[in-house]
Amino acid sequence: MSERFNRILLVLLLLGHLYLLSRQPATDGSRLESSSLRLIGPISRVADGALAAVQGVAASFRMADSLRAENLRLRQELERLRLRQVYWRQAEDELALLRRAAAAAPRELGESFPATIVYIDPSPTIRTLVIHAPQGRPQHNQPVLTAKGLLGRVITSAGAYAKVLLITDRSAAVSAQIERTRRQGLIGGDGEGGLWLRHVPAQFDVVAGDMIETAGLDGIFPPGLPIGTVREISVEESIFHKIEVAPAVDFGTLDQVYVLTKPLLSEGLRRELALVPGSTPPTPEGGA
Amino acid sequence: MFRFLRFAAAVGIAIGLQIFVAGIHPILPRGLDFVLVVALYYAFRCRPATSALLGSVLGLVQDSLSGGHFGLNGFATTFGAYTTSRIQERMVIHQNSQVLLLLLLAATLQQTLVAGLQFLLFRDAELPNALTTVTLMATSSLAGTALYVASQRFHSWHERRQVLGRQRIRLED
Repeated sequence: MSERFNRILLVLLLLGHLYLLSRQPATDGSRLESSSLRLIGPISRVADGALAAVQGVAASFRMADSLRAENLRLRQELERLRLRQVYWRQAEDELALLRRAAAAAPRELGESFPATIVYIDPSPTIRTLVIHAPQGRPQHNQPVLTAKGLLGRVITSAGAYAKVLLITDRSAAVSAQIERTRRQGLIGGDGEGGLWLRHVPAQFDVVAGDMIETAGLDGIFPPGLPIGTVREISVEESIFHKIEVAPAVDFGTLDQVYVLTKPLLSEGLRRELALVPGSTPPTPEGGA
Repeated sequence: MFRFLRFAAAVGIAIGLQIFVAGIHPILPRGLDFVLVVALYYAFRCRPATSALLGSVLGLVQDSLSGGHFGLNGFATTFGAYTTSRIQERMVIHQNSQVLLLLLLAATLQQTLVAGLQFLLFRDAELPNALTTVTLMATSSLAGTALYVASQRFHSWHERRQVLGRQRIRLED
């Protein structure tokens, strides 16, 4: 191959990559990225499975003695939980009665499907992970959570695989509120694993240990999902509090996650706001 | 076809190892990028045009695994692989230390391009940790050299076996 051909090929390839870079913002997946994820996803899952198998065998040898004791403890725990379930069933009935009485609509979290984590991006500044959901198809912007709280949202999907941007990423921004006072702010990461609640004016009351949850104002995350607790507050010279939040989720022990599927807004309201493709917002009657 | 399958297998193994290592401890892949090792190895073995193409594919694989801007590693690895291949073509390399030096240069170029592009193109970019980057460059070039030396030894062993086989046939005749 001639020298000229080599140079032309190199320039074309570099231009192609620059085009890819210019086309998509950091958090939106392109079609090529989705296709690439679709190819790499299964390899990631096989490697993850192999690692789990190796670790499982090693752990079973290591913990053979303690497993028996743990089994016994778990059986006792199961019995205790069964008893608790009876109590909760009664409490649920009672709550339904009260709801009916107050004519209040229950706050539903929505439908979800489980997913397993197959790869965690080791990059120090970007916090993403790849999940595999055999029971569902993750879609762009769907919230992802664990049993302990909010984890992030889907930014790229490819079949059963999806890339999730964690709330600890520097570019993440979640509408959040302090559970005790309902004071709202924006929560986001610093890229180093820390979480910061911003835009809470300095004159408002915040104390260490306050629970932080989603406010549901961003159109992505439903309200009431636990995010973390206030770890430290400093005012500095700004008009806002500088609030450090300890995440509810332990990002070092992630395994099973859940993807929320139900849209936050009802179909009618989505149609009214023209969020459904093909729909047009209604014209106000008699309005100027 | 066989070469393509060999390349696909190498990429698959690199991704598998990358995920395996990440599963052991999330900090480990920051210090060793197996996909970059494969890119360096192929850059050293192939012609510039092939190196650029393979570097492009491997860079996009790196981008898919990371949460960064898609195309960033693609650009850097393509350029790094092409440059390595061009230098290798024009030099007479006898010693393993020369291989190591060239691969170290390629890894440095790739990492510098990633950091530079990030810094130039994106407003919220942060320069990567210097220690992590130096470790990544050193380990990737070392692993690339080890892979190259191992493949050279395998080839010479394979050739010796073939020559011996031919001599045996002649004696039996």
